[in-house]
Amino acid sequence: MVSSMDRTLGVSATQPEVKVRVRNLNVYYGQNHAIRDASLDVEKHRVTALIGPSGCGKTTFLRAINRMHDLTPSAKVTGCIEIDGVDVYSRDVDPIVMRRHVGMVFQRPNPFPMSIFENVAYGLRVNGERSRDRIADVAENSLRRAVLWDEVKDRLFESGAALSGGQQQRLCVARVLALRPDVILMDEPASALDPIATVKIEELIAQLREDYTVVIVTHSMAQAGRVSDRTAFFLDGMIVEVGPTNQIFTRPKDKRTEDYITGRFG
Amino acid sequence: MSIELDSPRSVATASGRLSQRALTTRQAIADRLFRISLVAATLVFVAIIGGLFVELVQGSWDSIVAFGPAFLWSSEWNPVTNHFGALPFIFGTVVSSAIAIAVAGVVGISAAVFLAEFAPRAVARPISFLIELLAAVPSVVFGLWGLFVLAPILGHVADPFLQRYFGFLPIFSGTIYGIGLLTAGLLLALMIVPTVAAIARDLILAVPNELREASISLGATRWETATRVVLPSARAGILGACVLALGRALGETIAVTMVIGNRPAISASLFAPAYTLSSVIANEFTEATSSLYLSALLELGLILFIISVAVNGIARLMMWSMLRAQGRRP
Ligand SMILES: Nc1ncnc2c1ncn2[C@@H]1O[C@H](COP(=O)(O)OP(=O)(O)O)[C@@H](O)[C@H]1O
Ligand SMILES: [Mg+2]
Repeated sequence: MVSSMDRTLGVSATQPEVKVRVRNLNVYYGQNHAIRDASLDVEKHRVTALIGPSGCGKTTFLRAINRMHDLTPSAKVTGCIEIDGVDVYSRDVDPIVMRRHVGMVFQRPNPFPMSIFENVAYGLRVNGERSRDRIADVAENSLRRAVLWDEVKDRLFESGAALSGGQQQRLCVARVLALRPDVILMDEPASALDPIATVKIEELIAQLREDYTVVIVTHSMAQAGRVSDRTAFFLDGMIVEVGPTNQIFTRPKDKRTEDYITGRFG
Repeated sequence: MSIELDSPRSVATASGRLSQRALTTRQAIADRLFRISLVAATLVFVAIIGGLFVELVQGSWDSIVAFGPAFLWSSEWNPVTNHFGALPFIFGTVVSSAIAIAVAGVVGISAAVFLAEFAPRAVARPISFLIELLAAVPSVVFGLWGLFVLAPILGHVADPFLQRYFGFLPIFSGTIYGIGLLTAGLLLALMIVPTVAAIARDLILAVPNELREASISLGATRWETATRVVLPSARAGILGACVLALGRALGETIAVTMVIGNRPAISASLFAPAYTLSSVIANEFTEATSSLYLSALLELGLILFIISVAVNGIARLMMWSMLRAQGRRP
């Protein structure tokens, strides 16, 4: 339903490849029905923004994609989420292995209390990489991609906690990039950062699009406008509307989207 | 201390209006009184500890003069000839406490990880309760249990087993009595394990969940998350818990006295009877007939005091350096 609408509105002539296909997703926290029958196609090598008022289920939706709800005993997930056509909730999929391909950046920077280097090496180590040379290579590459290398190259073995908030968040991005994931999920990655650090993160996201598929939750519509190609608008656990970002912002189809965009909401 | 008292004012004077207002209010006076009482309380503690030290040195002066530093490495303990040496007691205290903290550290930290990270709440709650209950059992009850339950089990089952398979090691050789160093060490371990487990569990629970989520989202298992992220995050505090527990083991008297055998001998075998600093003080204090004998006992107390302070000091330095630099070279 939603996807056919998208296609007719798609800006590019070639049909975009779908990386993550969400169908009839429902998430419950006990009695609380937090996501209601949500369906969404996330296109490959695009940045998809999830917007909507606080508490509408954006974080819940995002965490369903890499099965983080497995950690919450009260949470129940039904429906289907496919990455490259494989249902991540199917019995054949090991969530530990799957998460390696789906990186996550959290709302508050959460570097491990280890050195900067060890933070980036962590994902490789737990995934069985032994070669020191390779780990060092990948760590440097990841820090470069996260535009952090020049700031930390002389203090790789100092604690990651000593960095500024913005640097910590880029360290968290580098930590994710070290695993070369296909999809990167970001939950309001700049909400705890100052404006300058926010700009850096947004520039970084713009670069990531070339090689990765990014899904980003943001509470700032301006940010969604700046970084994303497509936007999905959430309300009360449902996806009200999804489409190219400029269309959502200039010609929304749904009255509720329009109200939210124009600030006439709640 | 007096610098402490003045510093808040000097900060306040940086902005004139703020300092004027702060100085004229009643709160400022209350604040000052509060600080003074805190400093006074601190000074009382310092005075008590300092006084204790001075008292111990004074009391043991005769012995210090008579035996000199050789007191530390002499093994003779003979009230009849008035020859005294501390080595067997230092040995007994250090070895029994070392056994205790090694066992209690491993068991307590494992239990804490299990309770905080893996056990479902329905299991974790009753076990936590039992552990806290264990901490409330009086030493003498532990001693009775050690004497009537632990010592026979070790003497008839565990020690012969160890000797049969590991008897080639000197520590498991020799006659088995049931009571001795190993029994004392294990009983001490049981007594201090609640301290380690309860504090470590609370520290692990206090590790922010965001760190666990970050680890899991990078493809780590729960086990890897617990051992590589959660435990290292809490390690400085856990070290503190172990030192607290070790302090209790070093000073524990009555329970140890009941199961260690009370013989001032140094043997390679953990099955052999031994004696600790605190036990010999408690046992012989009332029967110390000569003033030199009494003085020697007090010097043992001084040694115990210094060992405890040194352990705490070293641990503090280790915790400090851990917290300062949590990064290491690959
Ligand atoms: N761990 C949880 N347990 C129970 N309810 C939760 C939990 N996390 C979120 N919720 C509920 O789910 C709904 C959606 O929350 P969330 O996904 O965090 O919204 P958003 O990220 O859009 O602000 C809210 O009603 C919230 O109270
Ligand atoms: Mg959220």
